[in-house]
Amino acid sequence: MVANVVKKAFYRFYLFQPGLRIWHWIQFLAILVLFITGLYIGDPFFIGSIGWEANDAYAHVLSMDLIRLIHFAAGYILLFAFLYRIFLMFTKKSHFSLLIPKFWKPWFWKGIIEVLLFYAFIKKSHLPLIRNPLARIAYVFVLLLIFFEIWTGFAMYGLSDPSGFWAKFVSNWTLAFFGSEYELHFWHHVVAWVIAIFVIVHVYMVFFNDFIAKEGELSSMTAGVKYFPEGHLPEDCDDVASQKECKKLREQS
Amino acid sequence: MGKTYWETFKEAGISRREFLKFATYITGLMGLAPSMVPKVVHALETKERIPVIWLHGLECTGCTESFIRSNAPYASDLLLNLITLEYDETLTAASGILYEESGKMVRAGLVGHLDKVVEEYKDRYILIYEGGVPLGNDGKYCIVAGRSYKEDVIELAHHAMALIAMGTCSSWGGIQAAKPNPTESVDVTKLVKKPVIRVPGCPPIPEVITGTILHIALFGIPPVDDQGRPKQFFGNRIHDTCYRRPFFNAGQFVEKPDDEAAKKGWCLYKIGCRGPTTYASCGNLRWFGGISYPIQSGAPCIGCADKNFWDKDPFFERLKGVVTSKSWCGRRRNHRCPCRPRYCGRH
Amino acid sequence: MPKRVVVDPVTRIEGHLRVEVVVDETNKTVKDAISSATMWRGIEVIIKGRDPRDAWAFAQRICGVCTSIHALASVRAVEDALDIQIPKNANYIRNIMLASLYVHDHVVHFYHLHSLDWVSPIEALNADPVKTAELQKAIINKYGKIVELAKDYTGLKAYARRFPKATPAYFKAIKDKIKQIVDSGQLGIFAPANWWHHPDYKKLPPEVHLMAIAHYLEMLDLQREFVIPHVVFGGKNPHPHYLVGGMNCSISLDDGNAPINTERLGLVQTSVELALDAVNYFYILDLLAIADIYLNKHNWFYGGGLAKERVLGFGDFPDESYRDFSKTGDYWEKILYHANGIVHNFKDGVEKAKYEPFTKEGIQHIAEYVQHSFYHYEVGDNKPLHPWEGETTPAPEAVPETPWKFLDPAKKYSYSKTPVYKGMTHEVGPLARYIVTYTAVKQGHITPSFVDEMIVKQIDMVSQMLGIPAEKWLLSTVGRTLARGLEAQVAANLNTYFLKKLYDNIKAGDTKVANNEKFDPETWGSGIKRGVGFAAAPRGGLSHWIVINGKTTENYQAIVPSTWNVAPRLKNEHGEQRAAYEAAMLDTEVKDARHPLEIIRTVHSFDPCLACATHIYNTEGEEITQFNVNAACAV
Repeated sequence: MVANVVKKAFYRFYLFQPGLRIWHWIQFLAILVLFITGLYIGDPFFIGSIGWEANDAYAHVLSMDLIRLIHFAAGYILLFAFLYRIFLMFTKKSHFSLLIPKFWKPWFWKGIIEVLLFYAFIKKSHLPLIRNPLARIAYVFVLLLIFFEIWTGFAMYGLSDPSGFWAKFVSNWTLAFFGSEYELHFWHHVVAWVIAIFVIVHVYMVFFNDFIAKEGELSSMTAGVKYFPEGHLPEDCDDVASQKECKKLREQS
Repeated sequence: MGKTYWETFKEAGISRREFLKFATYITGLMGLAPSMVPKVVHALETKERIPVIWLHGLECTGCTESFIRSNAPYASDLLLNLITLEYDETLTAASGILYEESGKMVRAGLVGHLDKVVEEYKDRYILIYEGGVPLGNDGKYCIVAGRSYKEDVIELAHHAMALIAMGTCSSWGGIQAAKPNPTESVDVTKLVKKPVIRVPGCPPIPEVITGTILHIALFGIPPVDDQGRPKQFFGNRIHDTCYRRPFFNAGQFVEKPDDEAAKKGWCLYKIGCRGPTTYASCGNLRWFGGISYPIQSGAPCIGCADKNFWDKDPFFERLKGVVTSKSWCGRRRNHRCPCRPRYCGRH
Repeated sequence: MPKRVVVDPVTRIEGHLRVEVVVDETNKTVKDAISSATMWRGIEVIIKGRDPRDAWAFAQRICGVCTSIHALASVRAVEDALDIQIPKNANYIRNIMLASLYVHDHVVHFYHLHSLDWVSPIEALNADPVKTAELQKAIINKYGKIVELAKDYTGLKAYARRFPKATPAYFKAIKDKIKQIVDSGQLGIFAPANWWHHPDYKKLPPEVHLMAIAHYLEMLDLQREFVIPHVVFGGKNPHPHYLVGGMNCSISLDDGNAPINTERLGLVQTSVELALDAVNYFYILDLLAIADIYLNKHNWFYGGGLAKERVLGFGDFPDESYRDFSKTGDYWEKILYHANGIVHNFKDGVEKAKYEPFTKEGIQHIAEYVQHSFYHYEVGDNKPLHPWEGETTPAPEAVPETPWKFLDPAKKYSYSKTPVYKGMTHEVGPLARYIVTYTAVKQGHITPSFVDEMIVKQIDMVSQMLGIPAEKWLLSTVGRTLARGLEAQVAANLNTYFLKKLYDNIKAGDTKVANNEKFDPETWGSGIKRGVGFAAAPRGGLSHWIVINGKTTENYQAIVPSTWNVAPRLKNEHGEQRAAYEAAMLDTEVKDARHPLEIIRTVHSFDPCLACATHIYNTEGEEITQFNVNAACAV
């Protein structure tokens, strides 16, 4: 049978500049490294009760020292990536606006219900949105969690040098805030797992959206664009384009 | 009254030379640079001897016991030459006496003396207090001389020049404040809004106690961190100063008490050592002038200088109730790890 | 008219104690006496629900003065419940730590908590340093024979290193220092000055005062060295670390990083030798000098109290590792110090006294009353409850409003409960242990160990030196203080004995210090397990009780020495009874009601430890039952 080819027009939204896309993947790699090395630091499980003699440990690569070094290096990368992400907010409208959970807009609340029904396979589609309300909440939330990990992480890191930069500006008040470092370790660990769970859900959702909604969810973080079929103009169009442009498009359809 | 240290030394027939030697010695003791010696000498020559009142709340007297274990300086040197301990329920000779005379209760003995001292040295004495303050049942879980300890400590803290919370109990409530805190114990900062120097530890290292008192007697309030702990004694993690740190770095760990690794003195991280989260001088000063500290004796640190450390049990586990990689390579599977079987199962 | 006087706070003790006495000023007798513990911390409530492997750390914080003894009793209780037998080395090490504690605790008690009831720094100013030096020599000559009873089992000690300095220059230096302090007007720990006006401070010649004050300072500097074994084996002191199943301090002679190696044992050796010297040449001799004058010159035999009627001891120092307390009870067969027993009416002489051993069977006869304690029982406050079924609800409404004027002995008046054995209060402590051991050996109830023999020799020798029969001098405030000193000599001796055993065992190739088979709670299985740990604490018989449910502590209780002694009065089928403090106070004269020094001295002879006495908070019996039901359901 001949392929059922239909000519269809698309709205093409250019969401993310290359800088943001690179940031995303660097951050992903950093978190992956941090998580794995963090697990080892939290409980050094690879090596049985008898490891290697101190002299040989480095030859075996996997020494606690090296793993911590990797963890700290990745931590610095995550920190600078985070700062870079903040800088990116000023470079393009969508870098900033898509992160805002716009709870004052009617589509936000309607969107929550429709998206939930859509994810539960009850509804076949939901009202067109560049970034749905659930994702908006989740992304802000996970950025806060990442910030929490950076904050607590550097607070713990800083105190090996009690009169150094990190100790002075971060660790002291953080420790007082948490009570003691034991709590810091505890929450750093717990939040790391929350982020890990987020990653799993996030990957599932991305593929789900890409396959079912067919709006170019995957391509948004590779090529930087998302597509919406004609007639399905996203409600949050003006998070990416100017209001005038969106109005024009809306009138066209 | 009000003799300077130098005057005291002169009276004791000690030469200037010996006095300078003493000053150099304590300068080193307090971890100060040699360039500070002239300042110490100056301080010793000009500072007045400060009266000290030492109160006991809900406590075990372990901190006072630790105080007399110090040998640098000796507690006797402090007691007879540097401070004048006017009230302490463990060391002072006199007891408090109360009796009725012409319808009025008379406070005599030590309690009478306390009233006099507070009057005489108002705003000039140091208040050291040991133990938690119970608020439950209107403070009647701890009654001294017929009054609740709560009232006493509030009143005496009010007129003190400096407050030193000695030990974890007075710093943060301590063991009686551990869950469920049956006596509703708190630390004094919940009652008195004044800066407090916290010297946590259960008990603190003897030389940390005497060192802090010495610092105050000589230089005034020591530099403290955001929680009021003297930086010179609580600035470092035990973990960062631990002689077993190389074994941590190399990934060599004790799995069970007294296993082969324990005999080699490897890192106690996996059996719950709190060194990585505890700020104290155990690693650098050690106990009894450097003889040992719990980790050196093979015991995982329980983090006794840490806020609310009692509720961070079980002490033989690293983080309470947190999913660690153990859930992957689980205990029950005898540490066999699915990911790197090569390194596992070696005990 | 009788005058009522309150001593509060009683200082030079651990914790908070208040005593009230009603003194008849005409004949200087005590008409009534109240001892009230005025603090409560609730440590047992806090231990509940936690990991039994951690219980020692919590229990140890009951007391910082007799530190480590509660940890010892606690790990013993957990091991009893979980059926863990500790390795030989762990037993030796624990015994060395216990004996070091005895020496330290007794020395600190006498010099720093008790001696100022006998001697005064002010009187010392009248002393002649030359005469004091001569007195010191005379004392060594007169009582020095007792030193021969002590032995160094390790055989490593070359000679006795620490002797009292008997030179005029030394005593002059001390006298000058005291003079300077007195002249400055800042008496510090010796304030207020009028404290020293009591006539009893004239009982001793000024030279004895100066000598004792010199030794007060000498021991203040030296006492830290006696507990170095705690620092080596347990990492610190106060509050060394213990371990369920043995000790943490692994021994290895191949590794310098090992917690214990030859150099570490050398530290212990030095400390143990020093302790032996300090007890032999300072502590006992000073004690005997003061006791001789008080008993023979001033006929001061007050303060015997309850010791005349009933004493109780538990015994300690297992020679080899034992299995348990509550199942086979072989602990009582392995111990060297056979103070496990009850003696009635020692006042009638050692032949006529009634002896009864305390072993496994005795456990069921221990119970506690709350008639006059700030607690309630559901069954009514007049019934006793065994610790297993014990319950305590604090009675906040029963605590009188502050400020307190006088306590009402007809009502509840203490945070301490009243423990009883077979329905009766008993005195516990070194004196009690000495009476029990002495009676047991003299009446031939036991095969004496070398420890028991040494105790009998000590008592006989002191009786001979003082020229007073044992039942007379022992049963007094002086005797209680003397017994403590003699016990320190035994402990210093035992230190070397167990150190030698540790050397020999390591030499034989055994370096095991912990039985870690049951370290992982997964290996314990489910269900309820009960355990008890007995120990002879420096202040008397101690017992810790634990109920483990699965992996957590279901219930935890401790009955401690000071509770036995400080307890409020009691009325039951055996009539009206008092505990040791109150009974001893009634047995004392008071010369000056406004300054009852004799009362303070008598109370101090018990070495009060109030934080110990008043942390008691048993849990409800029905909860244990309830968990039994749950366990049955789970099956």
